[in-house]
Amino acid sequence: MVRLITCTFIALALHVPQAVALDQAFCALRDPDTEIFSLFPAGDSYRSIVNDISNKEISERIARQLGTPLHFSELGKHTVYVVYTGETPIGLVHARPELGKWGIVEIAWALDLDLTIKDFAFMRCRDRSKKAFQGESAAREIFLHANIDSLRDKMVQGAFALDSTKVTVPDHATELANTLLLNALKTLVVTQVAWGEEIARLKP
Amino acid sequence: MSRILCTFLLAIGTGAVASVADVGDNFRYSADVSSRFVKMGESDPMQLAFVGVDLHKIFSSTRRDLVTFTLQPYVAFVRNGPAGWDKPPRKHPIFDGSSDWGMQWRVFNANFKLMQNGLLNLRLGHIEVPFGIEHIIPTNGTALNYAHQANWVGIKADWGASLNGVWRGYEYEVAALRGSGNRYASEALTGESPFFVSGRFGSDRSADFVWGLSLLNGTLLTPSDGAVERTRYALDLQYYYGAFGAIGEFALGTGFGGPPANDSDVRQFIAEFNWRTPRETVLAWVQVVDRSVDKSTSRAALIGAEWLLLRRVTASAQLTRHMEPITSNDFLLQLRYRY
Repeated sequence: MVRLITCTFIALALHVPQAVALDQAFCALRDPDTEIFSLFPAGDSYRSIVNDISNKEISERIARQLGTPLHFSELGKHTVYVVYTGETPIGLVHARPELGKWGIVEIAWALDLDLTIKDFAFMRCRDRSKKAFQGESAAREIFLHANIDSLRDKMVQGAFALDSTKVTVPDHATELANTLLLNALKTLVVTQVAWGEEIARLKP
Repeated sequence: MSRILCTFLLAIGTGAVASVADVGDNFRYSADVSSRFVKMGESDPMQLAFVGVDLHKIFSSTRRDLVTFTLQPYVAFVRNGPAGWDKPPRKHPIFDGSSDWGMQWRVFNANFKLMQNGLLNLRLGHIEVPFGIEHIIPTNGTALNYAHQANWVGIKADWGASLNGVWRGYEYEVAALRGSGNRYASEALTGESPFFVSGRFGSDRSADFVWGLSLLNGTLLTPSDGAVERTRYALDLQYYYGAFGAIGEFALGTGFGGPPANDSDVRQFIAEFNWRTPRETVLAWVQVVDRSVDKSTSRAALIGAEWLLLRRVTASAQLTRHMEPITSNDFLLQLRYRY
């Protein structure tokens, strides 16, 4: 037993400086094929671009633009999917997790190449109030066609919360709406900072 | 000493992989170290340690993804105590001796995109057997498990090929597999060459309610190199409400142990109720596993928990209470570090 523990800790000690936040084995990673093609029905293929947002310069730029640093578990390598129709890139899909009332909420955001939200879909959400944001609803409209600036215009000054004088959300869905707001802002800022160069090359 | 040296070299190897993490775009890596303590009934405890790497690499053309590699080679170490007072040390099915090490190929495959819309992919290598609830809930390297003794389906992963894909909220995987499990060699002592097919069709695994239907048929190799014919049909269900989850699997079939019991009628029912904290740092579960082989029945209740102790450090524990027939409890404790 002593030898096994020794083995474990030798290996552990050798790797501490290279630490990267990873939550689960990579066999659990799955491409959101269903979400990609439902968010972009005209799409016929996609390409993954994996970037690391742990880099100090990138994470500091994200923190500056967002107004708050990302939690360490949000750093690491992430994927943005570029969706094509034929040879033409028509948009991006970026799925990001966020802590919600009932655990992790994961949302796939469909963006155009100017980083405006075209659509979104819940990949994982155990909060029943998600129904308020599905189908054609006023609560859903808050996020459609939004970008960083327009989302900030809908926020309470100094907080990641929607301003009830500017938007209408059912009472039972306020908490999830604020989770969506934070997640949307993070997605837009992270995509802009960490994938900006690749997106610029995609534009005609 | 050899184990420490081996672990040391492997850790350096993983470090080398880590340091060249720019071996191309779309590459992820992680190293995984865990130590497990298992006490089964009256036997002396068994200690296991796993050291491995977890690699994920996507190869793309300029406009589309082509193939995704998921590679998880691990070195597993075991130290088995005797089965009881004045008895010889036990052997473990995947090791040659009671104090030994061996390679463990958890998931080691390439998934080729045959159709870009996700409808058809071809997976080659060591793949998770597409059968039942175990196939869609990631339990690799954790105390949580839905396979419950290798002898039920036979193996959790095997060498072979599968067709898989998703379409409008449904997913499927159908595999043709060697029947040998972790080893690539595939021949029974009787000279038989095992082979089986397995498949699962189900609804979107990320929804609140998930269902799946599975089928398995063929010949599998047993840990003692016997060959056994098995047929299994299963229905699996998941339902999540807030912090709570309910999971069930009901399976029927024939063939359990080696000949001459190949035509035994078998039935298994797994029910689980689980709970997560909102921050998902703790997962706790209670399971009941009820199984019958012909007219003999066994039933066990399991209670376990997984706790994210520190950044990247997870502790797990599970207690198994054998209710039918009544025997001593089993206990598992694990410490895991991923980086």
